[in-house]
Formats: sequence, C-alpha cells, structure tokens
Amino acid sequence: MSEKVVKKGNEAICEAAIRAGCRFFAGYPITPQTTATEYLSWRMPEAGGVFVQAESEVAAINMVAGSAMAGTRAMTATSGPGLSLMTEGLSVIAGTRLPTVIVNIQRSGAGIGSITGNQSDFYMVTKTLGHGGLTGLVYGPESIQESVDIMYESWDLAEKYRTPVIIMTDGVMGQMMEQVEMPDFKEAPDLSEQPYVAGKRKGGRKKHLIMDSPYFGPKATQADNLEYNYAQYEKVYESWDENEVRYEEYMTQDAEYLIIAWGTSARVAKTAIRHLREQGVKVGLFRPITLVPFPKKQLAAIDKNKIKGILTVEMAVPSQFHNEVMHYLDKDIRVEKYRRGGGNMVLDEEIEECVKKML
Amino acid sequence: MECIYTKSKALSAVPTSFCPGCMHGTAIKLIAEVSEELGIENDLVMVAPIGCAVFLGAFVEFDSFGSPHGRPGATGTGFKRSNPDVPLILYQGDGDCASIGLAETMHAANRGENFTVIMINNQVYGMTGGQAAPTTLPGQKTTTSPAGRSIEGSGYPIQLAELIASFKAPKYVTRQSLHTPKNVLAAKKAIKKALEIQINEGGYSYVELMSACPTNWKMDPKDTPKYMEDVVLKEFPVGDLKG
Amino acid sequence: MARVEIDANYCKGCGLCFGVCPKNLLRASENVNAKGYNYAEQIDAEKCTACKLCAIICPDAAISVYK
Ligand SMILES: Cc1ncc(C[n+]2csc(CCOP(=O)(O)OP(=O)(O)O)c2C)c(N)n1
Repeated sequence: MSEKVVKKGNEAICEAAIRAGCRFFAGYPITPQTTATEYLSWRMPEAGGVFVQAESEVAAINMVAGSAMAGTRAMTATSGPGLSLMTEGLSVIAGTRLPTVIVNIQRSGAGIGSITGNQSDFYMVTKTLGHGGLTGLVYGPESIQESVDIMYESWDLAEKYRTPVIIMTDGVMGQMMEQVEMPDFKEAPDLSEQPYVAGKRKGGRKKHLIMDSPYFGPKATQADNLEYNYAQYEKVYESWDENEVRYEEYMTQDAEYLIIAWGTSARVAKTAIRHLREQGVKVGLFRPITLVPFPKKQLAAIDKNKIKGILTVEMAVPSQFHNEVMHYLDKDIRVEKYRRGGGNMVLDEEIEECVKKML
Repeated sequence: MECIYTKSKALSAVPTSFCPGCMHGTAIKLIAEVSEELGIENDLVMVAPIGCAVFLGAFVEFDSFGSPHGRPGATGTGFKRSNPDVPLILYQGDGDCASIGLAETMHAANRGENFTVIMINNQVYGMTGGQAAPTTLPGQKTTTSPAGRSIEGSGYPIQLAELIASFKAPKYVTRQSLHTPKNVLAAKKAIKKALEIQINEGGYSYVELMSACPTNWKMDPKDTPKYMEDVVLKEFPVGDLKG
Repeated sequence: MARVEIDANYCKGCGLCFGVCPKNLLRASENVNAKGYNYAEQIDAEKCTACKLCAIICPDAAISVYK
C-alpha cells in the first residue's frame, strides 16, 4: 500500500528504490550523498538485498555492473568527484547496455569544489557517459515526490530499453525534508534469461558471452560490427526523442514571458512566478524533466509571436543548461540568463528582478 | 585403443587466439578440466577482464562477462553477492590484478569475497605488447624498460600472493607454475582446491600461475621453461602461502 | 601400444611438448596448418608409453592420448 511519510530527499529516493525492487546497492560516502549510503546500509539488508560500502566509486559502479549481470536491480548514488571516478564504469555499463540506476546528488564546482547543491554536472551527464559517446536516460526531478516517482519507474524503463538511468538531484533536494507519498512494493521481474545476465543456466541454454563492446554481429569484422551495433544503440536513443520526453508547463497558457529551468532551479522559479503573477506579470515556466532525451522539439516550438522574453535559470557558472536551451530556441526571441554558482542557491526575488528587467 | 586424455568438453570448438607457447591457454585448459571433474561446467561463470583474457569467453563453454581493466574484484563482488550460488572465477592478468586493479583486488580479498581469483603472472603487459608490469623482474627488459627494470625508478616486483596471504579472510592462497608437466598438474590441483573451497565452505581463494609470454619475452617458447625455472621462480617461488 | 593424436588445427607449433617427451618422439612437422604453423607430429608411435606429459604441457589442448 502506498503511504504518506515525511522523509529527507536522499532517504526517500532510496526507499523508492527498495520499493521498486532494487536489491543491490554499492556506494562510497560523499557529501551530500552520505545519508543515502547510510540509509541503505540498514534498509537494504532489511529488505533482503545486498549493501556494500565499496572501497571507491570506481569499485562501486563496477559492483553495480556485476550485480546487474546477475539479473538484479542494482544502483549506486554519488556526487561530483565520485561521478568523475564512475565515468569508466558508466561507459562500460552503457556499452554493455546494462539496466542500472545511478543517482547523482549534485554538489558544486570542479575538483573538490564545495559540498552545497548545484547543477553543474549537466553537461557531464547529458553529453556522454564516459568515453565512447554512448548515453542513457537522464532525469532532473524538481521535488522529492518527483524523485520518488521517477525512481519507482526507473528500472522498468532501464530494462525496457536496456540502458542505464541517471537521476540528477542535488544537495538541496537530498537534504531537505518533505511529505511524500511512497508507492507500494513491487516485485522485480525474473531477468535470468536476459542476454546480459550470466549464471543460473537452465537446461541446455547456450552460453552467454557478455562484453562491454559489441564485437559480435552480422558483419564480417570487429570494426564493422561495432559500427553496426552502435548504430542500433543510436536508434534506441532516437526513439526516446519520440517516446520518452517529459516536461512540465506551468502557467504558460497566457504567458508572455517564460522561465526555462530544471530541478531545484525550476522549483524556486515557480515561487517567483507566483509572486510575479500577483503583480500582474504574465509569466510561466517550461521545465524539462528528462535531460536525455532533451525536449528539443518543444523548445523549438516556443512561439516568438507569443513570447516576448525568456529567462533561463540554473545553478551553474559557467552556464551549461542555458547554452543547451539556446541551441533549440527561435533565434528571434530575446533570452536572458540568471544563474548562481559556487553552491549558491538561486533566489526567487532575484529571478523576479530579472524578469521585471525584461518587461 | 582407448582415449585416456583429450580436450575438455568445457572448451569451445575453436582454437584460442593466444600466441604459440602462451600459457594462458594452459590455465584455461585446466579450468575447463577442473570444471568437468567437479561437474560445474554448466554453472561456472568467468570474469574476463581487459588483457589477453578479454576474449576468454569465446574459448570456453561457460557463461562469462567482461570487466574494465583491473575491476574484476568489484564486478565479481557485485555479481557474486547477488548470485551467491554461482561458482565464479576472476581470470586476471598481473597488470590487471596487481597494478590498475590493486585496490579492487586487495579489498575483495580482505572482505573474503566468495570467489576464486586466477592470476596469470607473465611479468609483462601481454595484450598491449610487452610493457613493464608490476611483476617485471629487476633488470628485465621490456618496451617501457628498455634498459631493464630499475629498482630505483620502478621498485621491486610486487609479490601479490604474499600480500594477499597477509590478510585474515582469504581461505586459500597459492602460487603455482605452468612451465613443466609436474607444475601443471600441481596447478590443476590448486585450481580444484580453490573451487572446492568456494563451493563447499565458501571463502576467498587466490591462485597465481607463473606463465610464459614468449612473444613479448622475445624468446623461443621451447626456451621458456628453463628460463622460468632458473630465473623467474627465484623471484616468485611456488607453493601454498595460506590454507 | 599407445599413441598420441595431435589436432593440427589447434597446434601452434610452440614445441613445449618436444622437451617433455621422455622418449623424444615429438617434432615439428614439415607441413603447416591453416594458420601457418608447423604443427607437432609424433614419430615412432610404437615407443609411446601414453605418459600424457605432452598433452599436459600443451597450452592449446591439441593432444589426445590413446592407449
Ligand atoms: C583503463 C585502461 N588502461 C589501459 C588499458 C590498456 N591495456 C589493455 S590490456 C593492458 C595490460 C594487460 O596486462 P595484464 O593484465 O598483465 O594481462 P596480459 O595481457 O599480460 O594477460 C593494458 C595496459 C586499458 N584497456 N584500459
């Protein structure tokens, strides 16, 4: 039965994973992810799953790959520096097309950076997973409830498309507490016959030879098979543009001005929009929920005859999301940006000011 | 006449792609034979990481999966924890196991993961063409130590078996060699013992196998057994270190 | 009576078996296999004792032993 509980973001998303049938977690502590690892250290065994505190993020992501190849719903969670260490494993997981879930609870800055929330891993996660140019489904929820709902579905999608799923929250969302509706427990499917799962061979099933590079296929040479198989991967990615794009439009019906933002920034923008509306400003929000696939068509369809100005909002300096959005917008629309970096929050009153400047 | 010895059925019907005289082939042959003797040829899973082991899965009839260079200790941990009844071998080169993957190797051993590591110690990076490995002998010439491995610059060879034996958790740690029939038989016995421990009582086992890489040693395969006996085994003595 | 059978498709002609035969019955054939290796062959099969040492040392599982 679903139930209403008050939980910290990190704990809520981990609980949703358990309820989604996740039975393996490996992770390495890093602020602001630590409470997720702590929660699962007792909750995962309680649910009959496996918890491993890995020796590093390099190990954690590869443990997740190993568990996925045992047919288990497996996940890890990390933040900036840990994500960097995971890129090798992410590349391998994308190459092997292993259904797995990775939560990136973003912190700010390069190198050690700072431990406060940020959105500066946008490029790193959406452009390619490690080397090789492969990708996965990437979600950027704005609230704990939305994180929970996405997490609850994530393995269904991961298994449907044979892909990693990355959920991008941030230090703000990870630490705050909110009331959430927790979904019911669901059972993971039997994956033992899947071609990416080893062991538990039944009857005379042929061996599974699982490799991160798809060298085998209908072509004569390794290179031709790699090219051919990667082109099949690409078709999967392209199908996401048609079938998996998610976004929210908030108060856009009569809007003359638009804010475009994702995750925590979008949530703060909503407060600003409510204030601006009280002052008679016709402003709305366009919020991508999927970062891969990115809502390209929807952005391109924003009508220059209707929208007088757009403000992008993000917690990243230098800009990332802003630049991405600019690729798709009509060039005749005036676009301004507001961003905060270094772990600073975007503020609703500053957003209001930026919108007012455009009026 | 009766056939008293032939190719194991757990080997695929294709020759391996290893170079002539490469003892990777010997090790894989032994694993196949032991799996048949233990009746686990349908159950055994092998991790085939980067290195000359990468195409291992094509040569055996077991299920196998890849791992990035050095990460079998982690990949294997994830797999085995989720599939505790499936016998698992991590088949690793010395570069994989003792250099890039040293952390994963050590922590898996220290946790006492219930799998068997078979480490092929050929003192070079075979797949990439004979660069120095952490196991390269002092003075040994490789493509990245053209003047011979210097102790000042590169330190001493890492004796991984000894390191692993210093942990409390491992149940069985041994170093064997593949250069003479007698050693091959001893190696086979060791592999069997390691798998029996894994299956019957559970626990970590490590079998290091001294091997030749004639191509990168630039040596006639026929000369490798004597070199191994006279030189290599002086640095890497064979025998059980634990269990 | 004993003999060994060498699978010419598997043998890579490394010669490790030559040195372990107590009777020196193995040598490189003058013929080459599809991969271009001079594979091993047995001479004087009647002297073979089926000791299996050649099969044991063979890295390519190319040798079967009959007795
Ligand atoms: C991260 C990474 N670094 C480097 C390489 C290149 N590389 C491939 S195999 C190899 C060495 C393998 O040597 P070893 O593990 O001793 O196995 P062998 O080939 O000798 O059996 C290296 C350095 C790689 N594939 N991945």
